[in-house]
Amino acid sequence: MTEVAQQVANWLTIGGIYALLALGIAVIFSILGLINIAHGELVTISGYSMVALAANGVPWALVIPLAILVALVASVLMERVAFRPMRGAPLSAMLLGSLALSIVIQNLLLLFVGARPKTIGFPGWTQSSFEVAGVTVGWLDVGCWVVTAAVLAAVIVFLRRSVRGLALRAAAEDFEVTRLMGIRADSVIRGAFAVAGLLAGIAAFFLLATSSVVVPGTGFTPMLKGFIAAVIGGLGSLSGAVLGGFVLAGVEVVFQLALPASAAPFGDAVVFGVVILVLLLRPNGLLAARSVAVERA
Amino acid sequence: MRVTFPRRSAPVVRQSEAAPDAGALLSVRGLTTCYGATVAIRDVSLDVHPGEIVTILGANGAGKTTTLGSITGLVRPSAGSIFFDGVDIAGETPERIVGCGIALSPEGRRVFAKLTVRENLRLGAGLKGQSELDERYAEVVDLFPVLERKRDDFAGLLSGGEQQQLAIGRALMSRPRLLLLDEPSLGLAPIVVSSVFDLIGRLRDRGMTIVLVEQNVDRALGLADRGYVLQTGRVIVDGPAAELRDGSAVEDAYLGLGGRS
Repeated sequence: MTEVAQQVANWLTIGGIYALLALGIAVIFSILGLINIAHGELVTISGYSMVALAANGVPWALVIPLAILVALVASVLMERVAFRPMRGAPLSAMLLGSLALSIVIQNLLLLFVGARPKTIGFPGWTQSSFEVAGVTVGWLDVGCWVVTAAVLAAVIVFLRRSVRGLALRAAAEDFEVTRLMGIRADSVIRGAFAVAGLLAGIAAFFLLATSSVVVPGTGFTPMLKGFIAAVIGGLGSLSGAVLGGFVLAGVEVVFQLALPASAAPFGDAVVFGVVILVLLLRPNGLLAARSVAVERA
Repeated sequence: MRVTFPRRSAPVVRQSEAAPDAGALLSVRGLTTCYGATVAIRDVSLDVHPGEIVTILGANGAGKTTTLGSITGLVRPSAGSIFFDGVDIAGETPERIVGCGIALSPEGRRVFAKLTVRENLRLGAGLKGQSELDERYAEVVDLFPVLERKRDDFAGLLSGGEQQQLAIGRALMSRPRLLLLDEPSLGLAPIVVSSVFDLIGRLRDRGMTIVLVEQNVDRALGLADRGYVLQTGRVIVDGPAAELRDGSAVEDAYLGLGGRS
């Protein structure tokens, strides 16, 4: 029983992080049809800014919001510098463009920061834990649950209640008609990248606090997991992305328990196998919200 | 999904001799629009005067929707001028053009299916403030009472006729001076088609200037003041609606495709 509770705690933490990443990827995909491969680099950039800020004696109460802000600004800059000049180009070109951007950022980091892992001196509370009924729960886990729930709720309120959120939802459904409403394409797209950057920055903190190190390639796995979660949920469906994050984390946790230790190296292969199975059964993902738009294309 | 952004690079080729008709609200001169190497419309010129209904007719693929797309900025014309109130807006972005006072109810209605009726109308006003919004909303639901009754329903759940009313209502939310209607009767039951045409007549009575693209030739000519007939991207005939209705030019343009009713 305690074992199950322990795994549920792990699942919620990993699922929350995946949900944040997947939601960011889905927000951009739903509007531009672009899968931003460089999304993971936001995690990396946020990580290095934590290193720099903490090393310069900035208190952690400031480091965390600043590092999240850095991810947000980096995301908006990515759009301005890399994707805006490519607007109107075929989606395959945009996809390759985002891959190129990812490689460029990684190599710039290699060049100017170096390949050696940088350790982030996280504050003590992130590594400490407490015990409830035999279940060990990290303060970081609690923080992750609370923040993920709060952020997801805030994003939902933003999308449902605000005019800008309404414009984002409309743009996700039919960008052309949204522009016919007099809503500027630039501002909607910038808003989407800002939301994606914010989510990536928050995910970066919880991801890196468990590993405590950052290297130029840090962002790749989070991007992949977020992307897969978004695909499982139904690419472009925002609620699907959140659901996909928790499903992917659930599959990972279950297989970590079920597989013998000797099979551990193949864990990802098994997880991806399950993903393929899900997509065979539901090719459009669990919440296939884009079917209308897909038909039109 | 398809997102089209007009390429900013190529400037629209202006014709130096092109001049707007002084009394016209909209004056299109020598408009040519291409999709890649395919010329969709070539050297189209037309005028719309304040308070009139002008209909654009033609078979499928004649270039009707492309003409409206070029006027609204959804596709970028490669040559020609589009004077609205004397100002050339050819090649501007859709968001700018709607700000000038041109609204489009697009082909196939394209309401935001996953948003409520009220949210659809809200967007029609762009990002306008609340008081302005309430005023316009009241005007539009006065014209379309059904939209007020179903304001919290998802637009995707409305009937075809209701969706068409929503699409037109949404376009009116921007308080346009020129309303472009692209095939408003498409896919609707005959009785609903009648009500849509009645509605367009009511809009005209309120002083709205309208460009109506239609497949339903008889009804469009019955309502319109003047008409233009497109064939493979060119205007082959234009004139008062009554003349077009009586002559054979329209039928010829359809090459039998339109039927002889």
